[in-house]
Amino acid sequence: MQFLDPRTAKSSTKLYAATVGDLKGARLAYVSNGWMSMNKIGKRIEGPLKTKYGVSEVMFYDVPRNMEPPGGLLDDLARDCDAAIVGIAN
Amino acid sequence: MLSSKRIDGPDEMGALFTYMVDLGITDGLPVIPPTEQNVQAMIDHVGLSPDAEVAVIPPGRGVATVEKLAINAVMAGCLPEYFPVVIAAIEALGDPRFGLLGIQTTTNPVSPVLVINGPIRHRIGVNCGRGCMGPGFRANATIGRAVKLALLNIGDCRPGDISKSIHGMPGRFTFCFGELEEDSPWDPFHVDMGFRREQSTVSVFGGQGTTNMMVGFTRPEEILCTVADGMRYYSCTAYLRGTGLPMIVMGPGHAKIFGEAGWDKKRIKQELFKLTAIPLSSIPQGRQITAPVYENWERSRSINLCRDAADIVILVAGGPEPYHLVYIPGWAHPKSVVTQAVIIPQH
Repeated sequence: MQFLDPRTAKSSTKLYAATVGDLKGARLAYVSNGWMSMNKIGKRIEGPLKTKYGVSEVMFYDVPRNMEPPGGLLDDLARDCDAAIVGIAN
Repeated sequence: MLSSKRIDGPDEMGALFTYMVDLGITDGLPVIPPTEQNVQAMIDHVGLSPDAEVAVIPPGRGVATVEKLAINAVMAGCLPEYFPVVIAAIEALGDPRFGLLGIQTTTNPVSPVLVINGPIRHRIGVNCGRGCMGPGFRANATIGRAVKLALLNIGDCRPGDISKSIHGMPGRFTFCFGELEEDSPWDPFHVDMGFRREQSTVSVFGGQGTTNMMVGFTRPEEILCTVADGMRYYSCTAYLRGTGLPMIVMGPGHAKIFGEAGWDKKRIKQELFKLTAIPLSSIPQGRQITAPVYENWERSRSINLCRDAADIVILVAGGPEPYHLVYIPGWAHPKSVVTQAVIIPQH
């Protein structure tokens, strides 16, 4: 029997930022929503990012746990940083 | 002209079902084969272009066209006259206010809950009374299922894969009912949401399943005291965030008690909001995996399961006996109730 495929094409609208590439000299944002994994790793990640990847500075931001960031925060972040870590797998 | 890929499967029904399961395009239950003829009949009923885009469904960011929705509606067992409700529900779920990405990918057992209001309930036979949450009623069962299949096939939300829900939930197969407006002492929900009573709508909520409450009391204060007792547990995600949208579905028997005593929905919500506060001093102080909103609060404070009494949703549906009420704990995403008008074809 022939039937129609219920699956679909993905939206062509691009939502993704360009890849970062080389981190040497970059200013990196670490955006934590309060999950324990973000808190624990956040305390340790600055050192390896600087020594291993040459990141110049890691800036830490806290965002609400269940809603969008306060107005202006993303604009500040985009202005002050070259890249951002916004999530870590549990 | 329908543009979807044609797939050739076995002719024997059992073998065809197995073939479709292996493709990963079912919810694990048998489906109606979406033949070109079946799908075209669904589309013809609404008179829309097959390639008209209704929404983009996360996390796969699949484009929910009328044709793709029709295919999933056929598979679910919908009649063509149900299809306008499916389209409206998907439109509502695609509204950014609803937060569908989170619901599709969270570890939580949350699922969209569909509530239908207005004249279309009678026109297509949506059960709003006894047994409205199932099983046994085609419109309720298949409209809800069509939406869930669309979230799976168009949103590419594979259970156990990109869907991280730890246990899943039976309501993820289907979860749809109508409000019993005629037996309610109050305005129906869609009127609360700014629509006219004669409009047909579908509202989408993020709900975590049904919690039954046997409430045999006959006075409003006693009923609410009992209901609040069932809602007041701090493991509910809504208490972690304080931003839930809890839903109470009471049968017309309980609603009548409130109505005759002069209670409106606003007063019920205010009373429930007050009664469901939990003193922080009764909750362990240890660190939690996800930091609750109250983590650094004074221990003398209390926590609530929603931001404001107005966030509590009161619906009337179900059988007439004033025995059982249903509590549907809401997910903790803010502003997650969206109501969408159903466009009924004029033919």
